Parts: sequence; C-alpha cells; structure tokens
Amino acid sequence: MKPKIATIWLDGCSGCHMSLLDLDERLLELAERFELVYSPLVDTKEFPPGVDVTLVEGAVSSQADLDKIRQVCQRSRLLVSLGDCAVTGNIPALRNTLKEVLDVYHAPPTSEVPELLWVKPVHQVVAVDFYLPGCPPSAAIIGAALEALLEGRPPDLQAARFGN
Amino acid sequence: MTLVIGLGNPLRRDDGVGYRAALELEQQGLCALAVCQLLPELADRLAQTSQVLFMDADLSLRPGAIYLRRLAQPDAGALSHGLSPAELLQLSLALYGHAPAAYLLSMGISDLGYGEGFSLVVEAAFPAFLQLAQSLCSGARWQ
Amino acid sequence: MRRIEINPVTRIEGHAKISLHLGESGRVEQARLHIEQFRGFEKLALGRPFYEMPGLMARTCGICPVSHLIAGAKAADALLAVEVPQAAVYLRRILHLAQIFQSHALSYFYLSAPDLLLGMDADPQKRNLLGLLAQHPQVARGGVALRRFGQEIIERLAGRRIHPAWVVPGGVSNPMSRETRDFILQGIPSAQKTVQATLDEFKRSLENYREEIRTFASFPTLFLGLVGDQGELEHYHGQLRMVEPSGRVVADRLDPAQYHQYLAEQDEPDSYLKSPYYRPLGYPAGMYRVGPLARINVIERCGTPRADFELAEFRGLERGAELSSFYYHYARLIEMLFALEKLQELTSRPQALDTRVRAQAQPSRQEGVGVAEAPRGTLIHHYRIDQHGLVTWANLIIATGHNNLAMNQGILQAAKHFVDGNRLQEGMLNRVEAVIRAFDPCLSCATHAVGQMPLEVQLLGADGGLLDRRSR
Repeated sequence: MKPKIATIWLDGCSGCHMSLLDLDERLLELAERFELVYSPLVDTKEFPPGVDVTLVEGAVSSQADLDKIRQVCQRSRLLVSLGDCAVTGNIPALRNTLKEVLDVYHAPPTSEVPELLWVKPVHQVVAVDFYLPGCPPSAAIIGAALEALLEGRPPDLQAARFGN
Repeated sequence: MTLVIGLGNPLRRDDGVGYRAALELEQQGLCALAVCQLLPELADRLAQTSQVLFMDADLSLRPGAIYLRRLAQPDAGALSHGLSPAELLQLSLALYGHAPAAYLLSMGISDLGYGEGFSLVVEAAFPAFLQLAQSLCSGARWQ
Repeated sequence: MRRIEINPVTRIEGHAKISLHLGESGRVEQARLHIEQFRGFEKLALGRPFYEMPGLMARTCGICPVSHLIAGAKAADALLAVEVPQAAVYLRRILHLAQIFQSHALSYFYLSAPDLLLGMDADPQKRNLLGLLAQHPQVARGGVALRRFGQEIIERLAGRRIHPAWVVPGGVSNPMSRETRDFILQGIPSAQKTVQATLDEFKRSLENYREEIRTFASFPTLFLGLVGDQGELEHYHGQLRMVEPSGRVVADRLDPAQYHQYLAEQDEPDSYLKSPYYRPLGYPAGMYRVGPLARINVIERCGTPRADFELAEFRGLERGAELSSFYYHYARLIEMLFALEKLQELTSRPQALDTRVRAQAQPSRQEGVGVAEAPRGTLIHHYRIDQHGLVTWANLIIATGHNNLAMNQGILQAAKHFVDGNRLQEGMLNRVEAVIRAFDPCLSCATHAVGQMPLEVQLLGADGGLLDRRSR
C-alpha cells in the first residue's frame, strides 16, 4: 500500500504549490511512490480519512479555512506547514493591523461567503508536525521533505536549508 | 506545388492587396497569378495543381487582420454565374475531374477609394500577408 | 427544486465554489460562482515605501508573480519619472515572456489537459496530471518540460523561480549573462517542436468538442487587451484596445493610465466582488473579457511568423471575433508559440547583454500607473505616494476580476446545456468546472480588494431557498 499524501491551500498565493511543481520531472518520479488522494490539482471533492501526510499551504483566514484545517487534521496522521504563510501568517497576517480590514471583519457577511477571522498560522489552530519555511520553500526542500516522509523518517531540514 | 491566385482591383486601393501580393510572389519565383477576377480558364490551371492558394481582400473583416481558411472540397453540383473561389474549384472538378486542396487567405480592408496604394493599416499588414502565403507555398507547417 | 454544490472547483488557481439551482424539470435555472478568499493587497500596501511594492505585490500570486513585478515596477518607474534603459526593457520582456510561457504550460498541461485528453467524463480519480502521465506519458512529460523551461529562464535571470526580486523601479538589478542567453536560445527549438505538436493535436481534437465550443461561455462580449504600435501582440507595454464581437474596433489607443475614464465597476447585490464593465456601454452591456482569447481577438497580428500563421488559421474559424471561451485553450497555445519566437528575437539582440540595466532617481511624481498583460489578462497597478515615498493609495485592476461577469454567465450557459438533475452524472458537473478552467482564473490575484469575491455556484429552489446539497 502506497502512502496517502494530500495537499491543501488555505489563504495563500499558491506559490508553495508551484514550488512543489517546480520539482519538475522529479515530482513525476516521486509520485510513483505515493497516492495523491486530495489536492487542488486532482478532482477529489471530499477530504478522505486515513491520509498519511498533508502539506498545508496558506494561513488560516476565514471560518472556511478553520473548518477545513480541523477536518484535515482529524483525517491526517501528519501535518506539514508548507511555506511562510502557514508557518508564520506572513503576508495575509499583515491585514490583522489594518483598520479598513477590521471593519470588514465586523461587518456581517452574506451567507454565501465565510466569515473572516484574525489571520493565524496553522499551528495556532491545530497541531503541526513539521515546518517548511520559505516564501516559497524551494523545490529542493519540499522534495527532500517528501522523500524523508515517504521513507518514514522526519525531514532533515538543516541539510536542506543550505542546499536551498 | 502550390498555385497562388491573387485577386482584386489594383486601382481601388486596398482592394488590390491580393493582386499585388501575387505580383510580389511571382517576382520571388513562385507560381503566382495576379488577376482582377476569377475566369473559367483558370479551371484548367487548377486541374493541374495539387494545392491552390487564393489571396483576396475582404471588406467584412477588420482592416489589417489576416484570415486563413481551408476551402471545402467541391461536389460536382450545379454551377452559377460569376466565379468565387469555391465555384472555380467546382468548375475544375466538373470539367477536369480534379480539384486541388484549396486555401483562402483574406485580409480585412477599409479603403476602396480610386487610386493605387494601400491604407496604412493594410500596408503595415502586407509583409505578414506575403509571409503567410510564402510559408503555405513552401509547405511549411512547422512539424 | 434542488441545489447542487461543486465544492471546491478543482484544477484552478485559488478557491471557488459553484452552486447550481435546478428547476422542476431537473434542468439548471440559476448558477453562481463564489470565491471565498479575501486577500486585501490594496490595503496591505498603505504606508509602505513604494519600492516595496513590486516585491509585496508579487505575493498576490504564486503563478504570475512576474506580471505583478512588471506592472508594479512600471508604476514605480512612473513615480520616479525615469526612462528605463533599453537593455532592461529587453530583459523585463524576456522575463515576462518566460512567465507567460510557463503559466500557459501549467494551465494547459497540468490543469486542463486531463479534461481534454482523458475526456470530460473520465474517472475523477485519474483525471489529473498523474493520470495523464499514465495514459499519455509523452504529453505529460512534454508539458512538464515546457513549464520547466519557462521557470528555468526566470530562475537564471531573476535568481529564483517564484517571487523573484530582480525587477526593480528603474530597470532590473543585474544584466543577463552569456550563459543564460545561450541557455535560452538552445532550449527554444525543442520547446517549439513540443508546442507545435500540441497545437496540431489540439486542432485535430476540436472535432470532439463541438458541444463544448458552443456552450462554454460562448456569447457576445467585448474584448480588451494591449496592442503595440503596429497592432501586434503585446504583454509588456502598449495601449489598450476594446473590440466588439464582430471584430470591429470600438475604442483604440486607450491610455492605460486613464483606465478609470473607460472602465467602471458595478456592485453586485449579493457579491463582494464588483463587476468591471466598459463605461460607454453601461452595465451589463459593457461586459468584456480579457486574457489570451481577448488578446488574440484585439490584435491585428502577433508579429512573429509561426504564431501569425496559427493566428490566421484560428481566425478562419469565425468571421468576427472568436466568442467561445473554449478557444481560450487555442489562444494560449498560440501565445506559447509567440513567446518562444519573441524570446528568440529579443535574446539574440546584442543589446540584451548590455550591463547598463537600471536608471536611478528619486520619486518625482506622486502618482504612477503600470500596465502589463498577465497570462490571464490586463493587469494595472496604480499607486499614489506622499512626499516621503510612502504609499497613500493603491488600486489594482486584475485580470480575473475583469472576467467575473463572463465566468458567471458562462457557467450558467454550460450548466443549462449539460446538467440534467434527473440523470445526474459526474461528467456533467465536471464540464461546468471546465468552463472556469478555460478562463484559467487566478483567484488569489482577483481577491485583492477589500471584501471577498464570492464566486459561488448555487442550486436554488424556485422559492429561492437552498436545495439539496450534493457533493461529489
């Protein structure tokens, strides 16, 4: 049975996912060793249970993000914060101090769109196992982390940092 | 081998763009005819070639824009008076049993005044018009 | 009355949800597209030094950061009132073309090719890049290689692939090396072969998509895009042109800096996202599209031989402008050919190696506008600064936002045609999503303004109440 890998994006720019794709051909090779069960790049609509590793891009900015990450956390064995928005809040979190934005927070949303929240990094709402910083983290770091996780060992980020 | 037939009236400004293009291509050694209108005699030439490229001006298109269309193969049905490229192809098939693969390269025009020379937009687009015709003639589909 | 929700829309950039409202007959009566992100970059810019803008704005999007760099830097150029050295213009153009190229490769091969080559009705589990790799390995690998080529050019020129910092107010920060130039020139021929082969195959496959061509957001709209002095295809600089469905030019040589004179935005009663429209025609008659299809429709010619050949053939399909959004895919492939030819041309110029690549100045004006054609359409960055160079106001007009009206109408058109609530099949819903994919939206970009961009497709009952919620 191949490990089940998932990726999601919350409030991010998709740059971290693009960096994942920047593995180019190596991604195609790596993909033979796992099953991509949920991702913006595939058509699964429901996050499945029993996921081994989920890479999470983006900060938690809305009720929808919060609901999503909670569900993902419940259904994943390991969570990886992918990129600075997930790790620290980064650009999305800049809005936490702006008056104009605070007004929107307090304005009642229509039922169609999720309520906005204070922007938070992922680990402030759920338990995260590994962090891949960078805006975005390089493809090399993401690749090294994936390989380690597929082999069942924790990613060695010290080495990866210098190879960035 | 591609036969190029450029049609139009060189004394009605932009209308002559197909005619002038054919003259240019003939100077460059291609098999090109500049005609003011399509005449039945041309069916003979068509019957002897595998591919024909008609070049023409088109008032209904945006000036300077270039359109390339493959013309449908004719069926040997009824003919009408006056000849369009499609009708000429039909004549060729009816009389000689063969119609070549056919393309129509049109350029949108705007100026139908009396005189020679083109409007600015058509003049600017003319080199591209020629270049497209050349590439079709040389069979380059950039495989 | 039933409601079907497609959530999330997959194989696009960003978050979107579609809701379909079915009538008694089981056919769709209403469809809305909801985007649930909120980004707010226009506000994040306030109080920050103007020279931070390119780097900050790049983070609007991870696919097209270069376009934001370019538009932001050009706005800053205007603030500095400098003339960017010729070599820097070439280099910025080269970088931008590489990005257009990789972004289109992503859109076509990674996001849409699973539909086009495996089929709209293919097994959802396999209908993705990895499934494509299994069934059409050569195509998948070819697509990966094309995207890689574009990304490597960006990396070599600008230092990194995503959110590089190399484009700066006044020019670029360092010149191009001979190694980079050689790398680019050497990679072009094989890339051209791959793109041409893909385009030829795509043209052959059009036969299979007659229904989709007719119904994927295929209706009359205006089209907006940049054109160069000779009416040629432009992504870096030019003036704006608006064309109507017949192909006739409605407005030409519009100064991008004066966009507010001819573009306005309409508030939607149930949406935070405003809908841009062409002022003289009012709302909603002034609806327009941007992006590859629009650019192809507004220009006279591309300006490079292969692309012009393909353009002429593409035009032969219709008498006026091409109206079907399915043809966005066709336009993207033509633009990829153009990008390679243009890269060849610009990179070969001796001046591209020149070392004078940046003009230095202090801010001289308090307002600057920069325009570019991002992969997805017209992009405008507009900044105002105070005497200290801090941003006091920022306005971004972003491609996907222009297409909001068309996308919403488009999914309704496709949903009405394909979705039958009485015999619901997954492939029907996938086709509705595929309309959005044709637009290749960048929703992280589009939700830049305060307020969210609700793109929500909802299936509502006759009484307006939310009906059955079904997800795949």
